[in-house]
Amino acid sequence: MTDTSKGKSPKEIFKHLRDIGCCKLCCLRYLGERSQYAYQNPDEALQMKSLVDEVEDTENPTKLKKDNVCTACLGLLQENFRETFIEKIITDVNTADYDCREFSCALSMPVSFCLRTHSFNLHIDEVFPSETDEPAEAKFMSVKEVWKWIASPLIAKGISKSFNPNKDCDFSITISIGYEDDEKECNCLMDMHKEIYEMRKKQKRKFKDCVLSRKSVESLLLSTDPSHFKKFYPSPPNIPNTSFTCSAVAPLHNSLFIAGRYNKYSRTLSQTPWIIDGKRLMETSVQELLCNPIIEISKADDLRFASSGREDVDVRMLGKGRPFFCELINPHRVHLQPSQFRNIEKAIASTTKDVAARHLQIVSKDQVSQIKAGEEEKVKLYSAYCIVSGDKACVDWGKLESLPPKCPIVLQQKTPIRVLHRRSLATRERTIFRLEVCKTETEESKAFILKMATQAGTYIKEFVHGDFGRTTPSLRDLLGTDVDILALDVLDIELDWPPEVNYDEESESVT
Amino acid sequence: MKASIVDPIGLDVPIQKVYPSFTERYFQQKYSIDVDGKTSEDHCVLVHSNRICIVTLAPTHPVIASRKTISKVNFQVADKTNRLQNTVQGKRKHGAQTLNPMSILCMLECEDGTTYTVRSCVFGKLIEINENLVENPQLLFDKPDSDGYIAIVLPNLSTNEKFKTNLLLKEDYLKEVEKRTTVNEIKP
Repeated sequence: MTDTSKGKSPKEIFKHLRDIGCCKLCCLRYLGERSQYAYQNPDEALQMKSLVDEVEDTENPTKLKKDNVCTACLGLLQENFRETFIEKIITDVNTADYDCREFSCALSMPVSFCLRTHSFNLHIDEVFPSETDEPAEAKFMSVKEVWKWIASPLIAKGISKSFNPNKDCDFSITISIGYEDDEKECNCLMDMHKEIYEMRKKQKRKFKDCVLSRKSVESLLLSTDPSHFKKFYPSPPNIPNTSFTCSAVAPLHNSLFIAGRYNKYSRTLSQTPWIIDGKRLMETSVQELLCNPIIEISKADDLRFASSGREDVDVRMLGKGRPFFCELINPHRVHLQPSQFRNIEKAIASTTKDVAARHLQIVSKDQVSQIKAGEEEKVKLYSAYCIVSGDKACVDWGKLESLPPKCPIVLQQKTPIRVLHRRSLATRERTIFRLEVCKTETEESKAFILKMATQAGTYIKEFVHGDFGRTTPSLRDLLGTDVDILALDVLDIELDWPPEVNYDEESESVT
Repeated sequence: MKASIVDPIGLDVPIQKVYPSFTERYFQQKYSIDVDGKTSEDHCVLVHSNRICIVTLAPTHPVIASRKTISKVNFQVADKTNRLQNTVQGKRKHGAQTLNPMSILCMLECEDGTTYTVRSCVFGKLIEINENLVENPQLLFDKPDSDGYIAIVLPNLSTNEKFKTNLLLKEDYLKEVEKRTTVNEIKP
């Protein structure tokens, strides 16, 4: 370790730090110590520097015994306070029961702690002026950094996860530190920066939550003249009356994305919960039938459902099904096996005949963006049960058979009246790529089946009946007779997403 | 996994002698009679389940009842207001012309020299005027309850309930019309 202070020996610095109420670890910090080992074994480190014995000689032994709450760290680094604290973190995280293998942690400090640290740094710069221009914040380890060095191995052991200090860790434990005298100690800011306070109080909407956030205090202090600061806040800071408190331990796992394809066999089931004025119009929904078992197995806090388009409540979704994904918010179980997904699929099948899920799997965030990118290009296949209207009308098969060769048919679709209340009004160009006319299996002589391949975003019902002449040409225009659509099925959505699950291979590997 | 057995399409649709029309399936027909105090100038408002209203003529309106030929639909309803210039933007339909029940949507000029004023009948925003009527005014006579509609209006939420009560249900409308014909019969 190099001595960065001018003139003063480490011994003098150590003694001074102890006198103003620093704990051993904070002394090491302000002596410029940068090795994790030293902080984990502070007595040894201090002995190595031949500080402890000498200090014990010179200092009044009774003063040492009366271990005050450290002026610099509010006790965070003091053994007697930190042990129960770490215990609490371990208990809380274990109670929340996550299955991930790595963790990171973050401390959120009270605002008054910024003041305290700033005051301390000013004091150090003044008493032990540095040879370099480097500010104290850069020169010395922060309380947070040292705390993580000490606490992370203990937490790792306690929660059986490895510590990942990098930003890419999906699981983080945020620990909020409280301090009883926080408000009292912050009050000086009101006098220190009267103008800013007055100004911010007026801008009530912008600063309604708190007049000064931690971030704004930090930047404010950097621009405050040290002598001005000292008029309102003691430097070095006063010895705290109480130690820090642990106000919250908040474990959070990044979202997990689960994708698959679903079928819908009911004509009385909406895709998402249908709630108007707080009243449920339908007992359940595709979303709930699919997602409830997924929430259950992942033990997530919440879920966001998204799919590649949507079908009306009275439309069936057949064939390979519709690609969808759900974002699991704060999942507690992330190591989900293919066999568990197959079990979810079976569970859905056993609870309802209306919905089926296939190809369930975990997907990455990048894969999720692909579902959105494919939105425009994908082709959808439909089957529509149509009737010609009027009591004397009958199906003109000859005319119908003349339609397929006319493809592709380009439509101009005004936003359908049925969705006009929630979509903006526009005329959109959509293409019918292929048409096929079939006989029905019903006894109705006025009915026929129209199968079609269309561009994504085509409103099929409106293409058939014309929506008061707002979709042109419509099937009605093409046939020259009134037609209506009485049932619609989506036969397929030509989007290869998510990757198909090979069911045969999977079942082989299980047996 | 089991393959689901799916019923062929249409099997669950009951076979009927006459199927209700698209208009009947999705809209509730409401009426405003003797609009602006002018006898039998009845209007029809088709209320969609999503509350959007389509304003059109009722079958008892003289233009339809007396089989008139419409020569022109005039959307220039005031010096500075042309209904064809209505534009709306976004989900909230910003920039729409606002309407009250007495707002004029258009004037119908018939070949026999008579003119009729069509009014909004509801409070709300004008979303769309039927531009096809400019080229083909007779649509109004041929298909008043579908392609011959006059305007699409998004009613104000707050006045939504109120206007509903001011408009007549189909059965009440029919009763009123019946009364009118009996009165006419007694007169001479």
